[in-house]
Amino acid sequence: DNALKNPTKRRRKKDEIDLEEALDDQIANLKVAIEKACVADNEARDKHMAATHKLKLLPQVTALLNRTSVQDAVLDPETNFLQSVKYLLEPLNDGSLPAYNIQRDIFNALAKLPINKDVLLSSGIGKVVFFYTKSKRPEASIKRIAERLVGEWSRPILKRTDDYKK
Amino acid sequence: PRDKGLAPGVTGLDEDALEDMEAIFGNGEDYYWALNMEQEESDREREEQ
Repeated sequence: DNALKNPTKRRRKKDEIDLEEALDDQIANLKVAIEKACVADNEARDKHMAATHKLKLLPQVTALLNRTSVQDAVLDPETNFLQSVKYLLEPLNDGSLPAYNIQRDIFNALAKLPINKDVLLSSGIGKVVFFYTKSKRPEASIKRIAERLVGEWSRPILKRTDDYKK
Repeated sequence: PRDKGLAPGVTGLDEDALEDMEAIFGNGEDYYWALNMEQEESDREREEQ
């Protein structure tokens, strides 16, 4: 009986490991692609051309951010995928913001993710989100999400102070 | 001694929390250049009008 059961178990384990490795590779490749797209978009702007490289990656990025089954990998501070997401939201060298679709889709995805302090510290995503609350360039709907995220992300840190005082 | 206890009460934040807030949201310098460019642009537009 055991002889029959064990190989199946091992097989399942191996399949899970294969899937995890494939996901890690997918995330790692996407991170590289994002960094290249950011450089390419800045170069395009310098030449007064349309910045479209990041926009082309957007469907892949949002698909990953919105897939609940891979949330652990996406939010792993070591994988640090959110650092690449931060790069997508950053202003370009000429001070302009990335395309509205990038802002809208990423902010909407961020609002659904359970982002904790460790992810915030490793990714720096909070810095760019805070910038969106300060800048006059984003549309009101984007600024509202940015303000809400800053509130949500700071609450556990401020709460800890309350607990400490008690 | 009263002053000592006053600061955290006034801000509602202890030092650790302040450090965390700064580490997470920045100290205002991270994208200062972009906000500065924005300001210069709007000043220029106002002058042109």
